[in-house]
Amino acid sequence: MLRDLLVVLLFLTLVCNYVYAVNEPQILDAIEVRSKKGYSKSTAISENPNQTILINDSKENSFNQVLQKTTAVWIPPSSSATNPSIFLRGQVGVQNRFFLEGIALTDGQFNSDHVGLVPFQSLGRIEIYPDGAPVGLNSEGLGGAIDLHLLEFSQSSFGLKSGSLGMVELQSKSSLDRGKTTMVITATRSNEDFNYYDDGGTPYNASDDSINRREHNRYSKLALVPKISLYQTDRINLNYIGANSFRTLQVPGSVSIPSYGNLKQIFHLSAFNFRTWLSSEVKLQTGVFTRLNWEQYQGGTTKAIRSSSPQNESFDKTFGFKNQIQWFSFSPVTLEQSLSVFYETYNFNEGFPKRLSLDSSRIDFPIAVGASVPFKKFLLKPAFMGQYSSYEGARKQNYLLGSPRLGLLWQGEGNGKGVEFEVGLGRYFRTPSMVELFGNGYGLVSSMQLLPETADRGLISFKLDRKINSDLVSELKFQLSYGLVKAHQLIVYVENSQVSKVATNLGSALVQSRDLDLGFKVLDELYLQTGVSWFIGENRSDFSYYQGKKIPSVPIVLVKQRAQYPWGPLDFNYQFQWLGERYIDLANLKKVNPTTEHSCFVSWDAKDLGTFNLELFNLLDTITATSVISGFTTFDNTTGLLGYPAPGRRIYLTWQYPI
Amino acid sequence: MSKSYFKGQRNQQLGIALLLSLLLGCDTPTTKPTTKHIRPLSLQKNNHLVVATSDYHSGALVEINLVENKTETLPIAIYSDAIIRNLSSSPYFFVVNRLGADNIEWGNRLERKVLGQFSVGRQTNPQDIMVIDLNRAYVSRLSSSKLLKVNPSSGGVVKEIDLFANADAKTIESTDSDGYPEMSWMVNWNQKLIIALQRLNTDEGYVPSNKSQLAVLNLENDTVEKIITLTGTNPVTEIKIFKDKLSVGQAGRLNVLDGGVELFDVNLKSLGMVTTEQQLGGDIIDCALLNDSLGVAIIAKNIYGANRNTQLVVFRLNDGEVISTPMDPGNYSLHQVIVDYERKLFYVADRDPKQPGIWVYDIKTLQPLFETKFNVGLPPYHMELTD
Repeated sequence: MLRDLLVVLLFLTLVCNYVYAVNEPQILDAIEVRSKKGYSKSTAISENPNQTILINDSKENSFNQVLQKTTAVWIPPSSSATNPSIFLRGQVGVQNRFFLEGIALTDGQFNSDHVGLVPFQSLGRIEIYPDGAPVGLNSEGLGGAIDLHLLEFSQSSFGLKSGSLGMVELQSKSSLDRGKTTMVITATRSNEDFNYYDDGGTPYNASDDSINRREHNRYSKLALVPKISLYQTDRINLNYIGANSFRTLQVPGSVSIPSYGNLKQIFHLSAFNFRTWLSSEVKLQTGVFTRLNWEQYQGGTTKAIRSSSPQNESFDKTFGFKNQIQWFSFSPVTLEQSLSVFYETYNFNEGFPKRLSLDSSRIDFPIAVGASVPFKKFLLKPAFMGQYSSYEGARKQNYLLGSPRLGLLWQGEGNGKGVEFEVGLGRYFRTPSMVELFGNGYGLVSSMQLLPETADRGLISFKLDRKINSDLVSELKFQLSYGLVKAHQLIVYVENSQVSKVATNLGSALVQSRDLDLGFKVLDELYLQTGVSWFIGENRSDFSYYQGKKIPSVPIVLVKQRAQYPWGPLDFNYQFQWLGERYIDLANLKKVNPTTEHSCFVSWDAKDLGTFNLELFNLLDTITATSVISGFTTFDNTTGLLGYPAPGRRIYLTWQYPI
Repeated sequence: MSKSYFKGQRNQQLGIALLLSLLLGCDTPTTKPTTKHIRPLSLQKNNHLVVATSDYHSGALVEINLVENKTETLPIAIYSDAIIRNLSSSPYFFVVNRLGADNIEWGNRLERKVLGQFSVGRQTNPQDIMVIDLNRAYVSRLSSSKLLKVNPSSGGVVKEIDLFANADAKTIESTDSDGYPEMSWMVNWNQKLIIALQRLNTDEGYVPSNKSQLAVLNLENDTVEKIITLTGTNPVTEIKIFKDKLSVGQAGRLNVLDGGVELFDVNLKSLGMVTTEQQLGGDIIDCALLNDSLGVAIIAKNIYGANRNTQLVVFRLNDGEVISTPMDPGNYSLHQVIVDYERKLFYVADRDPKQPGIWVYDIKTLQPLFETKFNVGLPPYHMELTD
């Protein structure tokens, strides 16, 4: 407790000390109003630091490949290539939020599909907010945020991707009317079944171990992403974006209890965005959207647990209105105000056994203000978001929650150019999602007493980005950051039977993270990057048996390395990831020992023949890891433990041909 | 001094503060659960309570020394759905790791050591083990139509016993529609193995079929002597012995008050329901006889509702009426009750999510003997008394 207090005091000391230390007036650079490639203005004002990854669609072909570029993101080796589990700065996936052009794709929820709903081929850039969604997005959430942005292209193309685990994908990018209308269509089918080492359910007895096949992983998906520019002038832009996903997939369940099922899902998102300059210095962005998600789960019949053969159906409908105004007229001060209304209905029918059928709705009114205020040599970024949420139907409850935040940015000038120092403090919140309250029919059961979770956050970050006049090293990037999060009434998912989970308020938790990122450009061509992250997550739960334990699924140390080397028409990439030991249960009785993953990507621009991309994941074919359970090291593997067995080596080849 | 000097000094302060904050964050204090200290119990037979604990994700084996009041988590990995059995008058323990692990794990409790582990068939969902000696044991499996006879020390299957092989097909239906008789709890009584046949219809969510039964196996020749049809259905509790009587708690359909506690005499003749769920006021989760005049039961109320609850109730054996409700925790947490006839106490497993543990009750006063529970770490799932 005393140390936590000291850390917070040091944060404040840092802020105060530095504010008073710099008393010389200075002229700040004008805030860049970027429009190239559709950069959001909120990014410029955002109280939260972000990282933008531009996607080179001729060289990069999957989320795994692109997201690994930043140290703040890590993807477990067991993650699928098309719908990866994403951890942002040590926070578990459920805490993170995913957006398409600023519109939330999902609520925070277990097994959320997030990025898998939007085909990777349709994306032009990804904005990552490891430390929380900026208020401009009008979104609640304790964790980080990933905002996907669609690709703008004028060249139609056709693509074919195929590879391991029976994966075949057809890709089509169509540009009509001089690029005013674009459509990305992908059709994917994959088997995803793989061999693994099975311990026979007896970790103490290696004599019955065998190679088995992990089944029931098949899926088919059709995705359509249209983008239509309806009206465009120098000052006005009206467009339509859509995301449609039709999927059938098998849900395999755990290894030890093969309670597989089949899930059908129809997802649709339509949004009309209107942007205009009300004057030369006031910008208005407004939009309406609808988001529909229908899911039907049919449990498979297995020998052992026939009762887990339900047919459940859920239909989530969300309608939203977003409005954002940005004032650049008080230069050098920039102001931002946003207001939204979201109305969501959730219908859930537990078909069998017939225990539950409910309709519920909620309405949210988030309001946010933010500013970017030069002060001495600093840029102050105060922001506030308030939200009123009202639930009706199966649960009646109202909440009024607030999220005050303060960011502080110092950017070097002259000789110090390229140096950046940033501090952020804030309180964040998230109300329970409909799925958490009422269940999703394939693993998560209803938890109607759930309360909102909140978190206090602090972040210190130092960045250096320099060009160097040296024959050996021409570019140097360095980043060091420290984050401290104290969560209250943290919502976690705990098992309440062999085949189901329930969302519950765990109590409080403390997570500290440190990231170190170092990148060089050597000999003008070779780019080398090393990232190291340390996480300390302490469970301060009200549950006595979880108190003082480490937060599960978060490795204590994570190391990443990346090398990129362009050579004529070829481009070589190599990625290495070392995940330190991590607990996989809240009680900290099960620990997975460190694992490594090596991946390699090669792209070839064959001019008239198109481009070819080769992706190799998990080069060393790691399908398992040793584990320690109640102090006992298993002889062989982690069969049946969370995330394991993992698919082994995967190889994919993509050919894209411009039409 | 120049302004730039101060500025440099402040930059140094900034650096030191940054460094300190980073270093301070390197270590955080941890809070460990504390063991409750209660007064010692008298030295009797059954000096240990062995508890399989679980939060449904992880499992642990805990030993409570009832003489020294020590609680210790054993360094033995068990499954998250497991029950514990002990070979009487020996240090050997046997863990039935149920569906998902589907194996038997056994070892020496005094040496804190696992001696063996063997599978009883993937997805067969073992429920109970009755160990006659280290070379002979019987395993009931929910998803198998046959009783398994094993040699625990070698880990080998001796044979599978079809309980209905010699039965009169006209009077006995071997299974319900799902193909399994759902063998569950077992007890060794006078060289006879009594096996509860729940006969649930798993195809429809484990609802009881038309009847449930007890199978009586002669341990000398492994043949079924008879099959007894229970008065109610769905025997969910262990088959418990008190003097010359057996008690079997039957829950019937969940959330429907159609069960009760049935007694059997020494000849396995039914003495009828000694109390019913109607009288108890909820679905039976567990029960036991406290003495010649009283019984205790854990009942569940509103199983599918938001305000679902469990209660500990004490009832009279002569008319089945509830005379006391010693515990009403207000949540769905009470799980098992076992009686220590030597000390005239009974133990109640309380899976309260925030403060789980084991209560000790005095049979005479029907009051907790201590103010606090035995802290066993994870919520207690199954307890057994042993020497």
